[in-house]
Amino acid sequence: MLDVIDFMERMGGDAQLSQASPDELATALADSEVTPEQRAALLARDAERLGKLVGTPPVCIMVAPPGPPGTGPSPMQPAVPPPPPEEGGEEEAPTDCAEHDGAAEGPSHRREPLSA
Amino acid sequence: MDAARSPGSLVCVGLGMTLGAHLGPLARSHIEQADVVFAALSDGVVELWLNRMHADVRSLQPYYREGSSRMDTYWNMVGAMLAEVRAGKRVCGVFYGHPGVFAWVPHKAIEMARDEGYHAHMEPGVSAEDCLYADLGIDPGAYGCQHFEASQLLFYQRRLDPTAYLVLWQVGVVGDQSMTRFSTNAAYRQVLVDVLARDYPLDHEVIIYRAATLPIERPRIERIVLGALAQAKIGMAETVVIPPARPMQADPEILARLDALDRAVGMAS
Repeated sequence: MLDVIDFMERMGGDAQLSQASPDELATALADSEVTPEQRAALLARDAERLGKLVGTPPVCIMVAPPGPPGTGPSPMQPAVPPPPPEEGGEEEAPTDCAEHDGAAEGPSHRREPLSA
Repeated sequence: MDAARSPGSLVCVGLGMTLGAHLGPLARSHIEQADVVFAALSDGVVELWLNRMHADVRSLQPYYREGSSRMDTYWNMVGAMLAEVRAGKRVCGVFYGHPGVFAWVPHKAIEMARDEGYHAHMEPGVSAEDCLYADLGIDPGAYGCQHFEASQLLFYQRRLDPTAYLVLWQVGVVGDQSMTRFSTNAAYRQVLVDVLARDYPLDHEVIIYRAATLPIERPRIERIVLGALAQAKIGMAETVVIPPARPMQADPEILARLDALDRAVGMAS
């Protein structure tokens, strides 16, 4: 039996299922272990809701510096490694991207794929 | 340490853009056969999927810290991967889309690993650019296609060709010189519009595009006019595509030279 991740893997790689109508999708989901709430999100094609249901944290995305490789973010700044942390310094806890200032349009529950 | 004799190695692979749809067999094999897998992906759900392919998948997400420069974050990501390479592990870095397109970390990590004598290489993946051609029905061979990181158009004096397609990446953070922000506002996008208006009329069509990352999603394809771009909702995922604004102009001088060459080799034009 497929859970929601297995189901999406199958859906992504199946010619018929990837183009399925809502009825066909509902039929395929009936044979899975996808929970009713997850099924509703899948059928509504609501990726943000689905992410919350499976408990994934917000995701930051990689943004390439706007210069040639080896340069920093602005034309005048070379890319150099940051200094090593001071010994004995307290480890700073990672910060949720979604809480970052000005993130209203930025990282949401899902990463925002760029280019790549 | 004689790195040339060390078993440590690095490969950077792409998962493609859409869960389950784009991962190639070679990239999957690299993931499955690695000792350690590092991941910088497009979506938390996609990361859950990757976790099923290997028992030791280490997300690079915790390296992002509020207020710190992305470049520092990226250096730390490179350092984390190289530490395992130096420890003799077979390391696989997994990135969304194509690991070498608008992705500083994989290129830098491979460069540094090679400099230290380790085997390091990249396997291509399906990028947002690839999805864009399919979803928008664009053939870059028809009119030509220029790609620019959006801020580069503001920081540098670039020459655009309005007879070809123009694809602008990272418009959601256009104009950010600090590399610490997750978005820039309409005022920054207005500067971009003003730069583009040197070559394109404000009523010219532009397309806001975002590829699907889950198979339940549809790509975002929204057509607006250039003059409305500053006020449009554009996140970090969105790409802006500008179709040609003018027809290509024939080059009679070069065509005449080619005709002369054709005659010289006995070919009728």
